[in-house]
Amino acid sequence: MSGVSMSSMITEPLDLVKLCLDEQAYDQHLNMVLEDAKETVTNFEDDRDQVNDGEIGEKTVQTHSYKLLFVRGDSVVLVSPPKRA
Amino acid sequence: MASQLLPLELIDKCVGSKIWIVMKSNKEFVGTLLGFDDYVNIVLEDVTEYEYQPSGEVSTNSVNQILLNGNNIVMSSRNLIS
Amino acid sequence: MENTNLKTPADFLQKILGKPVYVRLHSGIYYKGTLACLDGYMNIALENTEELYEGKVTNSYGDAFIRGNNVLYISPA
Repeated sequence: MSGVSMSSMITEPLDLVKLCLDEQAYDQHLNMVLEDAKETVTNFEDDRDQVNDGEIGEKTVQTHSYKLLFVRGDSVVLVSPPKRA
Repeated sequence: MASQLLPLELIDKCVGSKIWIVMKSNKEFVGTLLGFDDYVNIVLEDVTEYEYQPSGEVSTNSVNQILLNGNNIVMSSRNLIS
Repeated sequence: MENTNLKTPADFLQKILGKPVYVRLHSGIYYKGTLACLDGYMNIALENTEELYEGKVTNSYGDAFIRGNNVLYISPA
């Protein structure tokens, strides 16, 4: 479904969200209900001295899993289909 | 009858000339105004983007053409203050 | 009014549709990809998208939907 034929199926940006979330509930604000969701929180220690030698600060990753999750649309930046292996 | 100039007419007078745009955030844009719409989304050419860092530094960035989202524009002016 | 100089946002978008673009967000992140379509909220669909932050590629997506309220500007790549 993704890739080659995408342009022909998509006439407005929200069509892409429809493809991503065809099983889940969502609305035009991008409020959505996700099943078996994984939240990933990535933090970089904000040490600007380290940025100079090409390194961003130390990275910490936290994950949480949810059986059912409501996401409020106004905090959404990007929606993309999960990557295929 | 004093002729009144509407805000969008003022911007229309600037089409083709260099304008200065101040954003809600610590950003400003300078470029040639190609066009705009009723929401004051703005098309600019030969653009310089200025970002004022908290440290006081100014970082600049040059872009050929942009469509600037009108949502966060505070003001625009033909007078270039430098 | 010179028509050659007149280019509204709608004309501009018509011209860059289907072409490679940079989308800059308020956060400072850039998305580089092919502009598939967009709507009145400046919601954007990009194909073959790369996410760039401070000059480095930080992610890539086949297709990406970007919520319009985050968009600062769109520029032809």
